[in-house]
Amino acid sequence: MVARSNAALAQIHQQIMWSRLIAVVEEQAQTMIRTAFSTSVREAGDLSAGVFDRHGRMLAQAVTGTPGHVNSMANGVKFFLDVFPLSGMKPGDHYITNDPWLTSGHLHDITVVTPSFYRGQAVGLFANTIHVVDIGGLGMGPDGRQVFEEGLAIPIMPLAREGRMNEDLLRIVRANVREPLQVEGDIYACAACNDEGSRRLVEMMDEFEIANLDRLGDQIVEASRAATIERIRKLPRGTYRNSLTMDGYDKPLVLNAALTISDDGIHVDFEGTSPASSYGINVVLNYCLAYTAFGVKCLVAPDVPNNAGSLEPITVSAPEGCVLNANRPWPVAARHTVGQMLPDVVSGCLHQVIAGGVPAEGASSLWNPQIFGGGSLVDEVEEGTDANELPLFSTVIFHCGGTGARPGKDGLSATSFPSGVRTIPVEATESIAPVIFYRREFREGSGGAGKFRGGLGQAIEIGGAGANPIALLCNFERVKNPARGRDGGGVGAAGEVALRSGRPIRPKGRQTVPPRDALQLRLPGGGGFGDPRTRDPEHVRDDVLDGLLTAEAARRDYGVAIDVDGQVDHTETKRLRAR
Amino acid sequence: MDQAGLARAIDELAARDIEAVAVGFLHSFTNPDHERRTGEAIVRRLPEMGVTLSSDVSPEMREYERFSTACANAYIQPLMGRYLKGLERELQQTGFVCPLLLMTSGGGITTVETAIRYPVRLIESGPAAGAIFAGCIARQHGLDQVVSFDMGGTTAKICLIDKAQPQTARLMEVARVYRFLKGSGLPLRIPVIEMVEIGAGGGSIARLDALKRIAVGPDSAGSQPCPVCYGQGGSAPTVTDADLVLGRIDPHRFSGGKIALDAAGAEHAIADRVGAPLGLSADHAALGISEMVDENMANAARVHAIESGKDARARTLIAFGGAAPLHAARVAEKLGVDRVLVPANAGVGSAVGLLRAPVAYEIVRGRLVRLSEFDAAAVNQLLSEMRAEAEAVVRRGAPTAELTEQRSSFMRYRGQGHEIAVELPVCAFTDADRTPLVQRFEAAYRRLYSRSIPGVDIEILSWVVSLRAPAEGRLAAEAVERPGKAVPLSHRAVFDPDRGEFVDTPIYWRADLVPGAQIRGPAVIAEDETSTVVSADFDARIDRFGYIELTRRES
Repeated sequence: MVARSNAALAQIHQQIMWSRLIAVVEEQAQTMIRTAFSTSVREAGDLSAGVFDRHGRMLAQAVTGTPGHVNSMANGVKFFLDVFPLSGMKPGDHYITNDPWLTSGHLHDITVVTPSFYRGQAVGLFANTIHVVDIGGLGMGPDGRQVFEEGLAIPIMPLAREGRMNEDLLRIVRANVREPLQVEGDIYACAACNDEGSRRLVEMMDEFEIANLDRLGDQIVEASRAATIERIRKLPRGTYRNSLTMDGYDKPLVLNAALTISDDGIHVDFEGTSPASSYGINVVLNYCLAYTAFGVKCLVAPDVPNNAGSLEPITVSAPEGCVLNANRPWPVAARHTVGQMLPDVVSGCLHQVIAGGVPAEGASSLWNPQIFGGGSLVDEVEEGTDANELPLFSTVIFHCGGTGARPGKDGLSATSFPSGVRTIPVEATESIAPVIFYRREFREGSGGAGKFRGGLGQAIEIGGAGANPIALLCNFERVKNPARGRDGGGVGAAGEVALRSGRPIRPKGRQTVPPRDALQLRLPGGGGFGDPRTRDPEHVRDDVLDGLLTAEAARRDYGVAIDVDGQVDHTETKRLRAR
Repeated sequence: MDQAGLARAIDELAARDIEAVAVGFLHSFTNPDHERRTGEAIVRRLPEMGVTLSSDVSPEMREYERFSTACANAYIQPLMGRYLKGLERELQQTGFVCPLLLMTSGGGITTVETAIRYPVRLIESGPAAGAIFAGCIARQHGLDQVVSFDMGGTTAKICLIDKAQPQTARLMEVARVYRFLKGSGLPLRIPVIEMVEIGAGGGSIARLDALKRIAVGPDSAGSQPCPVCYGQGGSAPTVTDADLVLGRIDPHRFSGGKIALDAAGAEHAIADRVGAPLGLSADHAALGISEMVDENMANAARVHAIESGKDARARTLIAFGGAAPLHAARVAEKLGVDRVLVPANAGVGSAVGLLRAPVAYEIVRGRLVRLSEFDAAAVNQLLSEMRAEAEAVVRRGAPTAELTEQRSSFMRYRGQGHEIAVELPVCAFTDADRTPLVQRFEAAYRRLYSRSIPGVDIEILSWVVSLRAPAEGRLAAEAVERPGKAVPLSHRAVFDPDRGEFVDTPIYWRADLVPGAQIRGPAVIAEDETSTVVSADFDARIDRFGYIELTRRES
């Protein structure tokens, strides 16, 4: 037992408890990964977990997780408390919702909130958000025109009361989703991981002999807020603007930002942003805040722990009804397409004030087509094939292009930023679905030229095995608007979508790859940083030898000549660069 | 196969003076034919070339991990080959006639030929030896549930050991860009002893982070610069400096009295870098450093246990490595562990483990088998091939010993992404074994996830055969315990973390203590290489092996 003999010990204990809370939520997240059923949670790590004080302020968050989930959850718990005040909650209660406007922006994300009790008193809450594999409706593509088409909606309601699961709700869920076992299993896992967090919290409170989290919570929030504000105050005050144009579903979208640095924080106003799309790529304000705050925090205060205090100084506003603040019941299923661009938008503002600059734009939006086949799902079959005989399947492949070059470092190739999810092995996909990958390789020359080169995209060719046609929910960004470089760096290569046969295919929407044809995806590269003619010629040569760049591009874009032995021709290089 | 393309690729290997090459084809874990023919074609043209086939070195699904493993193997093969052949030759010239055996990452001992063929299997074998050491102690003491805690100068390694078998895995990460950050390195899919390693050791540097929180590690003071108290020019306070300031280390008897420690220097560095900005005295700042590093280690152990579907509590903690005995009691308190063993030779546990490891080899093969289509004859053939392959390796190191075979498989519900390990009986299967296999899987699944899923087909992705010769020798001679209170050597002021002040504490000299000796905490048991802290919550006893056993007092 720890006696609190003096102020010095108390101060040390506060510090230790802060570390402990971060470990407790990591255990909560690991319990989720261990007990979850769906691959999106287990393989790709598409989840978040956190502990909250009595007022719904997030005190700690598991490192595991995507920003879209974490920061949406940070803001979302207070909506639960508005509907179900803490004073009415009982031990064994769990509350649930997938309301896009209150949590993380589409129906596929389920959030479960659980009160924690210590000696009969409610002392805080645990929450987690996960991406379930299916929620009914059209699937996770952008084709819906209203949220009603996108699946089952669960308003904030009890998932369990005093330990008894809401069986009526679970029956409705089971009847509405394509993978009832996985989804129900995941919902149970949400409750189980919050319970594990609560148990560990109670142990901590016993060990340190504290009756509530009030003082610890205040200290965490205050210290984190102060540290964030201190970082912000090191930046010059003022308003900095940036605008990013993206492909959109059927017409281009402009994301317009005015980022204002003041003494108390950073506010990002999205006035001038395009109106919401008629298709499901719209972002709700909560999700807009999540990815905006992530973009700001990465550049301004990356080492300050993520919690209510460090997030509080970062605020957003966006005109109601724009693509970043869509109204009900506009469609939102594929909202990450737009949301994952927000860190690029924010970076463009902060590049004007951060010494040394910030990373160039990257591919940013994931290319993760839902692929399915069989029965009524495909548009055309080979002559003589009975559609009833085609194997029924559905799977998602996560793939990403290149990240932007960083000040001082090249961008990362085929790496997901800002979402941070992992890709799925070809062998794993081919073993569960009748598809064949004909190609998956770095896309030569796709990294934006620069003193530091943008990350490369990848080239993928995939089709149905044998004579299977496959249906796709396409959602591919940066085909018309490539990632821009900074400080003289070049643009990354734009994305390309084609069929091997040469038949036309659109980068967005539901389509079919015909039998014996294949889809060719060339994912976008990241932008370059700095003048390519100042890149170390040896690095250019290495890129050529590694097959990341052709010798012609080295000469044209970098002014570097490579001789027949694969060495830099310094005389010729000097001549080229002098021009 | 595209023969012309292959010929062109071989031309390029020849033109570029390449020493070793890795060959990786998709789905080669199911059918290695193309990889083998490619390997043969390369060796025909370039007989000196080292060739690694991904289907040989890591025959399992998931191409990225398999190819990464093959590349790592090819990368280190020329260097390791030259080194090991040279070592063997020189040992023979010096008159050694015994076989040269090497520790693998999986905790078994293997021959030089195998090590040259699969050098990737030697990676991180030093820490594996430490876990083997703890496993031997667990067996000797009849302990079913153990957590080993190996804390040295720069890192702490924690391994869960059930029934004297260190936990194993098939995946590790090396060459991390951010040293302790999962996912920042290259994956290797090989049999390994699974442990969590964090940047917490005696030399770990303490400082304040941006939020004025005490942070310890992961960077550390190596031998140069070193902890401030060594007086060798180090200026950043370390965990060892904190231990010294807290009175846990005797400045005059450290390292057998060969190094006089500079307590004043340590105190000054801690006060300066950690204490003053927080308004804490050097003593309290030192306590903060010590508490934080203990908290980090306990948290890592807890999260690691959860990741493995296990619990860290209700285990015995076995502490070794130079810094572990100083911190074991506090880490045990934080983990809810009631019993700690500090073996003799605690400072050199890994070296002892090397001498105790069995000659053993493990073969893993990917082969998809759905239980609904279970073909006993095919499975029997696969498993006996694997046994023969493992035996060929083990027999070189243990020509006559009686071998123990263990079989397991990695199974999942069809459609899932992750497999779980399921132990298999060592026997010839018949087609009637389908149902017992389903039951084995379901039992294992329920243990992990508390439920099974009716009506879903089950599939086996990979198969494991491990073969071992018995481990040799005992760890320590047994003596008879003569219970009695031990007599302290002296008393010294040692900081009491609960009371927040120095308390006059008895100091015992480990070499003076006989089996049966009893000590009531708080106390310090000193020896040449380290000191064991007996906290106020624990009592100590010397057991019949000469180990210090700490037991938490009933509160």
